[in-house]
Amino acid sequence: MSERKVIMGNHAVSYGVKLARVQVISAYPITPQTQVVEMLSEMCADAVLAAKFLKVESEHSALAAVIGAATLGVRTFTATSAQGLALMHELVHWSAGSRLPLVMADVNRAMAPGWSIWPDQLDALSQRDTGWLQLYCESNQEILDLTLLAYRLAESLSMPVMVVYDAFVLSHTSEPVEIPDQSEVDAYLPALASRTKLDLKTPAAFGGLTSPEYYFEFRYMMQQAHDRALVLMDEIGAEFGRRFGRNYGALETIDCDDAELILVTAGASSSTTRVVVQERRRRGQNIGIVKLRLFRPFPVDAIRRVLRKARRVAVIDRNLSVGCGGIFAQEIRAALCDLSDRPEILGYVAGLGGRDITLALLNALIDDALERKAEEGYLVFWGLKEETLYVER
Amino acid sequence: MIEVRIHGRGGQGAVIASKLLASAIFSEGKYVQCFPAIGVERRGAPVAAFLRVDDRFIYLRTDIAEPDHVVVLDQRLIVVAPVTEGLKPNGIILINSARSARSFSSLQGYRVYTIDANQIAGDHGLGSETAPIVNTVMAAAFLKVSQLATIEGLCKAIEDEVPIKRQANIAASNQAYARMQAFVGTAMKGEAGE
Amino acid sequence: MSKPNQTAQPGKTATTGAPVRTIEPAVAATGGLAADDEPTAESHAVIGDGSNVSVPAPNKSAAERQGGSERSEPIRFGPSFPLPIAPISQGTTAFIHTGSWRYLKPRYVNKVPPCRVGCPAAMPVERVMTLVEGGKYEAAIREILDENPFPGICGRVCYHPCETACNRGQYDSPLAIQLTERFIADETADLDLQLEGGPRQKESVAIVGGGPAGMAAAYFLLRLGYQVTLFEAENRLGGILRYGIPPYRLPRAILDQELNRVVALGLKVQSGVRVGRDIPWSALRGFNARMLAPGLGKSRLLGIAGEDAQNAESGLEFLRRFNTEGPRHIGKKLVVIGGGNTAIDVVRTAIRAGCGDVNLLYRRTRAEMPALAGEVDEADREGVAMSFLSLPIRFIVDTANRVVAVEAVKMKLSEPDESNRPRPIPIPGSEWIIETDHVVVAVGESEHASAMPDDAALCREQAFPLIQSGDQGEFYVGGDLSNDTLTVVSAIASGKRAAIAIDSDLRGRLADWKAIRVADGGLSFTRYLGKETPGHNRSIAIDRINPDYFKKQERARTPRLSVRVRVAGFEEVNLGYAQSAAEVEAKRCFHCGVCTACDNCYIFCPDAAVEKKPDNTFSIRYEYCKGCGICATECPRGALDMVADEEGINDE
Repeated sequence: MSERKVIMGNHAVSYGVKLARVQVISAYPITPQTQVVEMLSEMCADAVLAAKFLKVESEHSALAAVIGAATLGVRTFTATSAQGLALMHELVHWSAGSRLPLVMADVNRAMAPGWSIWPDQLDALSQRDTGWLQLYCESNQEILDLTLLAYRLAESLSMPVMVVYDAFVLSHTSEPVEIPDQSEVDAYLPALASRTKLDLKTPAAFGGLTSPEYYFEFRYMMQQAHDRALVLMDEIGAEFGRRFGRNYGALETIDCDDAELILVTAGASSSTTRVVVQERRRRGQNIGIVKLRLFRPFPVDAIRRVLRKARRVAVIDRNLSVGCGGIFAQEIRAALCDLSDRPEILGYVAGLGGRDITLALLNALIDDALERKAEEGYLVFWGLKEETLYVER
Repeated sequence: MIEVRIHGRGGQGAVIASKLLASAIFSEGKYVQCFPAIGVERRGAPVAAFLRVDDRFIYLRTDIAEPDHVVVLDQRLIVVAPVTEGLKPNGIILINSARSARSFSSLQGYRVYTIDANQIAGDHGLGSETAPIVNTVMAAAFLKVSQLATIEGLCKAIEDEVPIKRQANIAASNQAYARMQAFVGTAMKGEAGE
Repeated sequence: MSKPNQTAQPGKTATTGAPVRTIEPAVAATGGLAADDEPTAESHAVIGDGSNVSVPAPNKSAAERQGGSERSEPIRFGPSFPLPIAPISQGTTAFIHTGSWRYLKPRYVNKVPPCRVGCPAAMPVERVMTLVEGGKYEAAIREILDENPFPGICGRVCYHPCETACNRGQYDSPLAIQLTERFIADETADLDLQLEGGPRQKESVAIVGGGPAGMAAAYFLLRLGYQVTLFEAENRLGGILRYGIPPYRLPRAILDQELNRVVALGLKVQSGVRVGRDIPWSALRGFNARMLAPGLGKSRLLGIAGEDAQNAESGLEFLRRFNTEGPRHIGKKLVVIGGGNTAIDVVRTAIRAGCGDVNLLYRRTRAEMPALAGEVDEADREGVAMSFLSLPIRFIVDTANRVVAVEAVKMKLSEPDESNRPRPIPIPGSEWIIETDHVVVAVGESEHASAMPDDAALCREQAFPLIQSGDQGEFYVGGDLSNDTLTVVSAIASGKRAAIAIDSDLRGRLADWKAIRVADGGLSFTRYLGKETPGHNRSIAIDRINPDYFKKQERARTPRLSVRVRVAGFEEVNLGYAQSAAEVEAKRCFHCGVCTACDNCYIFCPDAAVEKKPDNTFSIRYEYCKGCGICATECPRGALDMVADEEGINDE
């Protein structure tokens, strides 16, 4: 029997990990991720989760530990945030190149300095080229569900998957979550049958020197895995829907069919955007939302299909690739650039470092997106306190 | 939608109070969302936690700037925290204080209630004499004055979620809920109730 | 893909209505120097790198230019005070008023140390210890003499309840307060202290009785400026001090010296005059106030056969005769009955008088004896045979009406009686006989019937007791008549109480009896004079003392005369400790509840919220005090209290 509980996003991950019957957990605590591993360590201590919890001295060690465990063929989990993820970076690459089916939760937190514990997507997006799949969550339910789905994806593809959600807005916010029954989860997520397995009877070396003769091919195979992921995401997302009643695809589209303006969002701000768009619809404005769930691989075809019909697309980036703009906007521009009838793409950078993305801010953003002229520029820093900046005269 | 802000001090259990209220209200059929104000949480420092209640799933994920009601876990926060900031007119202000509601004369235009939660918590051995833990007591009192859920819902939430002293917390909550019974409906608009 | 233009959207914050969080924003904490948005040359808190920000780098730090002053508000960055290019701060965190974190606030609250509460005369032991530690003996004796005129006497014969109350007793052993008092008295005996009196008053006061109570009352009244005449029935002053307590405990030189100190203040003494016998009570009518301070001259009897024998007498009679007439022959064998200090004084005196076989009978056990345990121990050492659980049932007398033997019965203890001591009951058939040459009965005293007018009665309805006589009017009272505990120090305290009552009545001002009482202890003359503010008038228990700051160290001991030497005469047995011991002993004082400016609060405060003032006192900057309580915890002596902080909350 599933049960419905009011839980915080961090605990939604913990419940997901427990239901996934993870065998080895290693993590280093960092705000705002701490409760994830707190709860898991309690579950291990209370023997409600038969996992080995490895205490380590840094995030780098945490990822190294689960890489080792996964190499032995067991299901693993780690979680981190911001500087912790950055410290893992070397092994983020390593684990993807090793084709290990890891799952990691990253709680989106702004990169320092200025020292910040508040939400910002840059930490995860900075890992976009490592080969890890990335899933962005909008609610605590989605956090739990995508954690389970991530193991299916990871283990089907032998690729690591990152489950990403916003600091505090989800991590520390409690709301109702349906916690599926263990037997249902067991049926959806069978025990791991690892393809790369360290076994004393058949000794092997892992991750050895790879000459130019073959390196290229390994990388190409990683690309092939991502290509398969696009198909697989819809398949296992649909299967999830059949079993648990909640469908998950690479994208979620809301009211896009007739939309003149489509807002593109990822993460928790999608929710508040729904509230604004619903009100706009009531007032007769044809506005839709594309919510990015799967960011790596980037679902180019699906995005082209849904966005090409709109007159304008406004991408809301809670991140900034300095020197270029919002990362989602950049990828969407790239996805649409060869379409002759492509919409105008406006990139709104908003809410960096946890600045609240309010109803008023989104309403004003929609007004701006509907009326902005090309000469005003399509990279917009929305909600900036420009009056605090030094202006060179 | 009803939005509530809980003012407390680090260590007083404001966040747990918001969580217990959320669970209690959810168990009686409404949708909820609760979250703390995130700063650098320090023992004793003024902190806040928030609660949303609605009949439908709550998509709104912004801070709460204009709460309908406010719960104050330590009366001195009236002095040091912006307790009435953004509070809607005629909103409830429930204060943990041994004083009468009328003594908070600066809180004009709201429905002010007080309850000596320190004493109730102390009587039930919750926290220490100098730092009583009043979250369950205040949650119960708030449910009574706000009518957002019944005491049974809160007791179930305490049973499920409070790690220690469950029975003491339940007994204290029942006492607080009963004590507020006398005051319900007495606080008039713009006037301080007791 | 065309490169998008970049624009910033200014001024949207207001319209987007981002709520202000109730926490200190992190960026704000990087500022802390500029007072407001007004542009001033001094307001640039941040060093730019000079390349893309043309804010001039200041030569001195902004904090220096601000004179190190602290800001009450964080910087609000704006048009006149732009953000630096990175979060760089030269400011302080002074604008973060961590005082808002408090539940409780610390407060310096000096209290009354338990020793002083324990002393009926309210001796300021703690202040005295501070002075002794610094070698300031004259200042110390002046402190004592403000509350007690007889430190040399009390330093020898007091039952020292101060030491029973001493918190140190619950740690290792109580401070040797009595020995210290004696040391100070002896050390300063030769000083001419020129004790000041108050302004000279025209009123006269008559005191009847020259014992410790009457003499203490005289002393305080003289220091208040009154004309005091003292009537003493005996030839010499001192009462029980002279006629009861033997000289091996209280050398007469010490007694005379301290009594003379009172006389020297201008006391008129009428000795050898018993009022009501030698002069009529009406002779006192001319005085503006009259005080009675009689001792308990009448001894209790056992009520058994033979008590009226020629060679049977009371303990007080025995001692009085010894102390006035000197040693006399009482035979070889003596039986003394009783367990109080009088009985012990009798047996020890008898030993010194050459009586070789001294037997003490007491009906309970040693543990129940009312006498000072140390005195009993010394009697034991000096060879007194003690029979406990022994009750005389008759004195066997010869035809000349002289006791030749005492028949006694063994007792056993049963359930406690009204005095909460186990009730002794006789064991039938256990009788035995002790032969003796002399018997002394020392089983307590009762009032002397002739010590007050015939129709007088004690009245306790007001703050101080009075004796009211239809014929003679009202008398203030001191001494054993008015006290529950019959001790020298209680007598002194009662004399002080009478003096304060007389002054208060004559000057027409009602003494605030509560304020001049040290916590629930005795009355303070210093407080009565207004030389000491009552402050927080309560005592302090051992649980407020932080033992981490005190090394265990046993109390000072007094050398005693060897038994061989002492029983040969009446030389003082206790020799007192040496000057070197005084400082060591004074240093053992916890200074319970009294700030000694040890600096612990100042050193330990994690927020530097404790300020030290030039006068070596401290104050707390409550705007920064988080109420963590570390100062109160680390205060070695409980001088800091954590109290509820209700400041600023609306009043009822």
